[in-house]
This record gives sequence, structure tokens and C-alpha cells, in this order.
Amino acid sequence: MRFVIPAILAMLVLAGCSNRSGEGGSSPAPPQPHRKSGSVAPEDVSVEIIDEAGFADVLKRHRGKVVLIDYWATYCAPCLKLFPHTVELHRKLAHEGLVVISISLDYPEDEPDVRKRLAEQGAAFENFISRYGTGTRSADVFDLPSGVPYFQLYDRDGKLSKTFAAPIDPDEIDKAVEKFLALSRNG
Amino acid sequence: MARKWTYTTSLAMVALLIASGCHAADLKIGDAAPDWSGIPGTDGKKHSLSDYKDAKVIVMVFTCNHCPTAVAYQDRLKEFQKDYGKKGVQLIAVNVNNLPADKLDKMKERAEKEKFNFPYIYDSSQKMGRDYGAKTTPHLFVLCKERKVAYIGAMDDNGKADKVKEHYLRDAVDALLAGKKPEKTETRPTGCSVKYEKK
Repeated sequence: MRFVIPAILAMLVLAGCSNRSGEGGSSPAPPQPHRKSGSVAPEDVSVEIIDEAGFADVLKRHRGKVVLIDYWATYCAPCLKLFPHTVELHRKLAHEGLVVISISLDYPEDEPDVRKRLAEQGAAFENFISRYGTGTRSADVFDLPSGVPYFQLYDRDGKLSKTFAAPIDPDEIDKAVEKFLALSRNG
Repeated sequence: MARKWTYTTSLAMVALLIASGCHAADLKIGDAAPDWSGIPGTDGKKHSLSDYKDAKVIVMVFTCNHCPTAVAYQDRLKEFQKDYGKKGVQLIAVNVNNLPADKLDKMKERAEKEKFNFPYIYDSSQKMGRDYGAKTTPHLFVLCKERKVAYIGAMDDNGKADKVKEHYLRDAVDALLAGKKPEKTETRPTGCSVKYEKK
């Protein structure tokens, strides 16, 4: 079982790539925002500004589910490299009870650029931009001990149970997510 | 059997703890500053902490070339050294990243182009970063006259200079120069993660 999900993920990643490369090919399939295999239209991406109250609300709203938060920024190359993995996790495991959320440490006024990046990535989940941008206030509000990329995994009781700081190995995120989902199923 | 399992598990946990040792070694306020020596700088010289023994306060900034937040702080670092150098404060910029954009030749280009008025040194072994527990670029460690750690964290409260309201570094250094303990000794820096290589 442990190896099944990464294998499926790997297949999905491969499938995603071939779809993307096929965009300019012979099949003129129109983009279907609700059935993403790559990018989505920018207007279909959900992006909101978040502060401490919003953050508490988000965690409360998803109580009972496993929540993975991807902290990133448009200026962060390693974040952009990790983002497709986050998108795949959502695509594969949302129905298993995994909630995926992204929080950008760009600034509220960077919203168009953030939205564009998220659209390119096909981020069909809740996305936020910190009201406080890149600064100590963001670090305090979201409990970030280091720079981005950074991931938090909350268990179904809303408790911060695991964090991932650079260097981040996506396989370790997979393993932890799978473990927490299994605990939810059995518990 | 169960006992053996527990034993194996605890061994694995110990191994994990050792593997993530860079966190366990994090510096605390009041700790003696870890020593370093023979670190090459963009000026072609080797630098050691002892070279700066006359400085009243030393500000070590873990930074790099590639990180946009680090770049956003360049001018603020220069201004700080310009204002505080005459007061006996020495800022030292340290890079421990080994990305192509962060190698010594690129650092030299940056230091010359931006006319850095402080040493910009390169520890490719990353030991300095691990010793100090630098996690972010930029991440600051202020050392008092006795070379104990007096402040750890961000230079100020915002990556964008025009939005800054709190000047943590200047406040901490002002306090130290006045013979006082800084009011705020720790803040959480944001920016890019330090790119440590797995050992």
C-alpha cells in the first residue's frame, strides 16, 4: 500500500505532462476548468487575502480533515518547483479527506501575478495571500520558523502535527499525508 | 518481539534526531558565538571572526545572491553599515548556499556591482550556517562585545523597505551600544530557505 500511492502519483504526473505537451498538438481539446489536467483560467482560481482571523477560521472550517498547507511566493523558484506536487496531492487525495491550501507570502497588491502563477499550476483549491506579505508578522501569524518553501500538515483535530522545511523531499510529504489519512480512516 | 520493535523504533528516532541535528544545535540568546576562520570573501581574502575583535558589535547576516528577499535587503544592509560603521559596528554578510547563482565568482560580481561596504564571505561547507542555525535568507545574528548572541532574527518587519515599521536590528544595536540588553531579542525572519545539502 505504501508504494501504491506514489506509483499512482508518478503516473498522474507523467499523464499531466503528456497532456500539457499535447496542448499545441493535433487534438484541439478546449480547456475545461472543472476537469483540470494542467492550467486553469485565472478567473477560476480562488485567491483571497488572509490574516490571523482568516487563518483560524480556515483551520476550524476543515476540522475533521487532514490539512496540508503549502507556503510559497512567486519569487521563490524552489516553491514553484514543488507546487505541481502539491497540486497532484490535491487531485489524488481530496476525496480521501485531504484538504490542500496554499498561502503565498507575496503582498495583497501582487494578487494578479499570484493568480496567474496559480492558474498556470492548476491550483484548484483554496489559495490565499498573506495580508502581511514577506515579513515578521506573517511568520508570527502562520507560525513559520524559516523561509519558503515551507509546509504544514494538520491532523483531523486541527493540530499542527508535522512541518517540512528545506530541503524538502516530496516523498516525505506523501508518506506523512498517507499516514495521517490512514489514521483518520482507522480512528 | 514487541520489545525488539520498541527498541528498533527508538533507535530509528534517535537516528532521525541526529539527522536533523542542525535544529538541535540552534543558538540561543546569550550563547557564545560559534567561532569561524579562514572563510574566503569576495575581496580575495580569508576572513575569521577574530579579525574583527575590535568591533563593539558584530552583525552576521546569512544571505545569498539568488533570493529576491535577500536582494531586497541589500541596500538596507549598506545603509546600516554606513550609519553604524563609524560607531564601531561591523556587518558581515555570509553565504552558505551552493546554487550556481550563489558561488564565489557570482558573489564577487554582486559585491562589486552593488558596491558592498561590508565583507561578503562564502562558506561552501555550510558549517557556519549549521553552527548558527541560519534557516532563512536573510537571517541575522547580532554578537555583542563579549561575542555572545544578543539578537537573532529579521533586520526589520517587512521585505519591502517602504512598508517597514519596526527596525529590529537598529533597535537591538542601539541598545547594545548603550550598554543595555535589546528589548526584542528574537524575531522570525521571512524570505527564502537556506539551501542546505543533505549530509
